[in-house]
Amino acid sequence: MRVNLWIERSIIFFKRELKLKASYRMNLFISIVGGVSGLVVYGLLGNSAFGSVTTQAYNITLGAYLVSGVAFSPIIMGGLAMFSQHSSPSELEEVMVTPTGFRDYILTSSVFDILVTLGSSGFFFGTATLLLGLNYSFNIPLLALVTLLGLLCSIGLGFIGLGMRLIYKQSSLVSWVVFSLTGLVGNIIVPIQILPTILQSVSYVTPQYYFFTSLRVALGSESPPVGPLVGLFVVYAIVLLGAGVLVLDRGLRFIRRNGTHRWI
Amino acid sequence: MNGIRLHAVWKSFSRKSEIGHSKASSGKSEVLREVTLQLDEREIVSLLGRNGAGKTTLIRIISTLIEPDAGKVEVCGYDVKKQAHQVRRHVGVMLNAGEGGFQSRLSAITNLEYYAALYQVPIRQARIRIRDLLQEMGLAGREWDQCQSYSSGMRRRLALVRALLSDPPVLLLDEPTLGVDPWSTGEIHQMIRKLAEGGKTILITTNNVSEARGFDGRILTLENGTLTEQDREAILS
Repeated sequence: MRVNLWIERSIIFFKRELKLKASYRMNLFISIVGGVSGLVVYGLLGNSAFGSVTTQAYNITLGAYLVSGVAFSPIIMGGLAMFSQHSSPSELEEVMVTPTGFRDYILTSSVFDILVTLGSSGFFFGTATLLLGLNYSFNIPLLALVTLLGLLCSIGLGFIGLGMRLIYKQSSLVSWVVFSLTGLVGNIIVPIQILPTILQSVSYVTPQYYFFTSLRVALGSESPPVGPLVGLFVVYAIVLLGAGVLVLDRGLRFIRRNGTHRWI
Repeated sequence: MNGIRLHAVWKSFSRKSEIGHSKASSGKSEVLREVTLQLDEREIVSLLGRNGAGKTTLIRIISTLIEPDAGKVEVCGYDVKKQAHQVRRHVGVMLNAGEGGFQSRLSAITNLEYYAALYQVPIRQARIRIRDLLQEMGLAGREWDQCQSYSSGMRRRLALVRALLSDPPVLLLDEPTLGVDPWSTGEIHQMIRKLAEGGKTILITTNNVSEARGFDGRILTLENGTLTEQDREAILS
């Protein structure tokens, strides 16, 4: 497809999403108030702690650790919700009879959500940092790389969730793994240093561990050697994205064979 | 050639029982049995059949939504399995679906521009085509209203506009007047006749004999997965 057609399509999709989100203004208000108040709660809770394992591990206070975890979590956790909202059964059929490839459609449709996720993470993080007077030391290139890898992981997880949804008509297992299990072992709001050894081992197989650990290193003032960690994260992101593409293709083949595009 | 060819097409779906009920009722259900059909360029064919006869399955196979188990299907000379992308460039589809994938809080224009982008129609060309088609379908004046304020008839007409966005040579219309009042039905029929006169190859499914005989062209029936050509005069009488 010609580049100008792709750009036109991206702009049209972006405008459509903008209009659609703007038509639900109450949601925007609730999200902002809920996001800021949630972060402040975590920040205050963290700031009330005397000494923390996070100071030793990442050179940031528990408050700073919690705020960064909560503010940046949508970057790596958002793929599931982002893609499922563009694959409602009625829309799925109408899109699949057009010449636009399904992956292409899903990704272009999600550009707006990805930008909103990045923007809102930055906004919430900045607001909480100012309100609570948190101290970070920013390694911007590393932060940008970690964010990019986090997004790739999110897209991979989103593809896996969508593929499973097409086959099993539910993605609760993937949601559970992403939101519940990794909530404990993903180094999001629970420092892995305080976990039992066996759970620490489990955390090494989650993408969240690599994302949040690299993130804290990028935000900490005395960065430990980061090469191996980020190297593993790059490999993880590539593998997850590849797995996502395979699972989504499998899901699409499944519904083309069984005709189960609709399930509600 | 801008027609449709189906040769010995078979399709079956698995049937599953509710949990706790006998597995005896599970198994395969044959929907299409060795269906062979040819629609020549500029031909309009009505496909009659009861609910569940397999009409929608046939439309979904031709439009590349589902794959046949066996047989060959070609649209404008392109194979639906191997050249699905090319087939989609040549087909406009009006699916038999509830809300039809329109965002209810957005206008007809915004919804149609979105689908035009999916059909890879350049935006300037799309805007002119959308304006003209909405005018033809009697939706001009309501184009910026949210789709949630549209009646069923207006939504079906909007779905017809969407099917025509890329000006495809082949149109597949799956029960285009389902749930539509007689007045709007008449308008939609008139539009379809106009499209047929304009040179489109059209396959239209219906479970209504009077609707089928309202169009010139062959009438086929689909029963128990088998396609039969009907004597038009016999149906008319």
